[in-house]
Amino acid sequence: MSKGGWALGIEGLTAGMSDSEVIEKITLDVLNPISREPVDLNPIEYEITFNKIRTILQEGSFALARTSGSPIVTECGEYMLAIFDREGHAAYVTTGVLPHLAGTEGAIKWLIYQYASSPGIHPGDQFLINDPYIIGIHTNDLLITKPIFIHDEIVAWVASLTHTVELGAMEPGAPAHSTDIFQEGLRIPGMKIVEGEEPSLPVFKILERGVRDPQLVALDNVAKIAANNVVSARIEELIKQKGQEFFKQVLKKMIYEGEDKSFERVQAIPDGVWRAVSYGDFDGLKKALFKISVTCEKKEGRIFLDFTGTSPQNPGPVNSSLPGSIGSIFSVFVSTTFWDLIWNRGILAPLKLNIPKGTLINPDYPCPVTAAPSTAAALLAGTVTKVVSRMNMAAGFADEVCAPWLSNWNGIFMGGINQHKRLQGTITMDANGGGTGATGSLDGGDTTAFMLAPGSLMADVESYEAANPLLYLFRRQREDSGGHGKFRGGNGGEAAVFIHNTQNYRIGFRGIGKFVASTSGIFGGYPADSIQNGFIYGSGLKDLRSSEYKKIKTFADLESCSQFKEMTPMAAATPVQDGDLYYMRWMGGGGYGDPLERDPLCVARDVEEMKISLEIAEKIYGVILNLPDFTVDEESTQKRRMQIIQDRKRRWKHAKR
Amino acid sequence: MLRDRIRIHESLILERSAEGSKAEIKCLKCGTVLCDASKNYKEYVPYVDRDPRELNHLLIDSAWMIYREYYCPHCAILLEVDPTPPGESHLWDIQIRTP
Repeated sequence: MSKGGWALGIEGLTAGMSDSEVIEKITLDVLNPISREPVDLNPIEYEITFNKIRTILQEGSFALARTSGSPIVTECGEYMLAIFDREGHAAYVTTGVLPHLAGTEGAIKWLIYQYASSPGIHPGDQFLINDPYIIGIHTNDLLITKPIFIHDEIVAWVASLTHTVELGAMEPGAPAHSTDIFQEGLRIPGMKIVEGEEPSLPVFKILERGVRDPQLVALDNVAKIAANNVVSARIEELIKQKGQEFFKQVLKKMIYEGEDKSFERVQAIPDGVWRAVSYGDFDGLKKALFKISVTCEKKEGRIFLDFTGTSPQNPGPVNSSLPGSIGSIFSVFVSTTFWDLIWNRGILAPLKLNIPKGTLINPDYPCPVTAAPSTAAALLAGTVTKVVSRMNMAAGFADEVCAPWLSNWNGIFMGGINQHKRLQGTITMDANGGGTGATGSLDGGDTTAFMLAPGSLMADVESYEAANPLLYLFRRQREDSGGHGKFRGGNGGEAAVFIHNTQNYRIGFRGIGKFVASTSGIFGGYPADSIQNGFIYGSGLKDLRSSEYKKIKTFADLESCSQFKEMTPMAAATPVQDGDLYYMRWMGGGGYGDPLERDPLCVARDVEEMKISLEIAEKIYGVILNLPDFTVDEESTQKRRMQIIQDRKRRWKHAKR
Repeated sequence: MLRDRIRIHESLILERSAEGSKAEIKCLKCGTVLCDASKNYKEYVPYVDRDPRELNHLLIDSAWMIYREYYCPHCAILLEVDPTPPGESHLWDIQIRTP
């Protein structure tokens, strides 16, 4: 059913539904296997064409990254390119911001539903959409999608998405304390940004006048249009060579294969139930304890994920809309159980989800959601990782077992007049270098990645300094920040950054996980340490000679020479002056297994490389080292480990006897 | 069909008894039987509620969160660390269906 009479084939979608009802139906449809049609393809030709399509999307990604001028895109890689069949079913996604696969499928269906009749969908059109209740996550994630036509018939859709620096919200970059979606910047439920190959100047003008950084926002959009054009031109060439019917069948088969292989893999999992709970500590407005609770059940050849027990939606933006939450769950499965399958909607086919309405992972419109990737969506991914890893262990997929990666994302949001005398709103993305969770055979990666955007990176310090009025005093890995264990969670990091060459600037913070440990370990591994944010105002440190300030290498050094003003995990952007300094630290990954099982030689190496402290080596790992050469004192280590075991026995109590 | 031995955890195994009548959860390190497979093992093993500050996790509010550590009752290997508000019940995190 659609307004334009285009059969989307979505059960229960009827005329006269409210927008919210339509969006929910369309969003949940990504979980339904698609109806099957006969496919008659030579398997070798299919594989060759599938790989051609992958290569075409990669080429589109390169075009996007080379055209955009935003460091978030060019260096951090915060973008996604994907291809969809005629009805909008996701056939393949390149790496990047993975949670958007599900929401982008919904967005295309929404565009078909809303606009197929009027104003119509025509060759050369491209649509801009960023409503987080339709595409998921937050307004900063701006999607442009283009239908690919052959002889006036749509054969596929290509979609490009970037995390855009700024969308004109109540605070520069994005707000930390919005109380509804209307405070979170421009929200577009679909407009033609290109009409019949002609850019729509009114749409570009809306974006130019509605945001703080019109140049970078425009460049991002031009880059996505270019990427879509590159992909559509290549696909048209491919269809000329191979034929329209062949191409359509290849897309269908890609989805069928995703479905079939994921169902097949689920069969290896024994029937059972796995549960996990994770906690957060700040609702956007105040300190507040909340939780995400999941029960994962394998039965009848499917995986049921039930989030009953999850806390109600938060008053501030610590929420994730339904498509963002489904996408976050997709991100976990695509990074673990199904990592080697075709990355498309087929991976979701064996899943049945119950995400209660009114919770922080399925809030009611117009609840604020802009902090989703830093908070609710990241915590959701960490929680789901715990149950999926336990399930994978029981299935014998030992290589797909890991502790949660950093389950929050501490972001710094900023804006004002920068050093180039230009109005600006932006964000630094140091937390993309998060610690990943340890596995059953490897330590987590130190300052490596973020599960919701595993292909994304932290930009070079110099890039941030060139674009923003900032000077980094240090950015480094932080010892003891990952979860301890037989295999150690990857360490997170910390940064101290001067405000430089501006007198009109504001800085805000956006994260959770300071007062509670939001990134857990697994199987006896410990949680990662907290995040932290704060300022040193008028420090004078910037005026020190380089030989002096180079001695300031850690938070303790900073604290010893200046007054540190501790901030809450989320804090609205407040004015700063030239020479002020902000400090932030971001999380590591969870640990795996009992730390007493860790090879003492690995502990010695960790201490020497400043991954863990000498104190923790002795207290938690029970390893005594000979200094200064960092060799293991084997006899003392054995005694210390026995002592820890005795201490456990002395302190423990029993639930039942 | 349930396999006779399933590794359900880094340090735990679910094993069907020789006569095949029941399944149990055992410690992989020392072989101690913790409980019947149909039960929550955490209710049958000793635990410690640890203050996160013992790990130098100094910013955690211990009124809101403790680290609950579960051990094998025999060899004392650390089986799980649940970051949880004080006083919460023992989360049943692994429950394999045994026919």
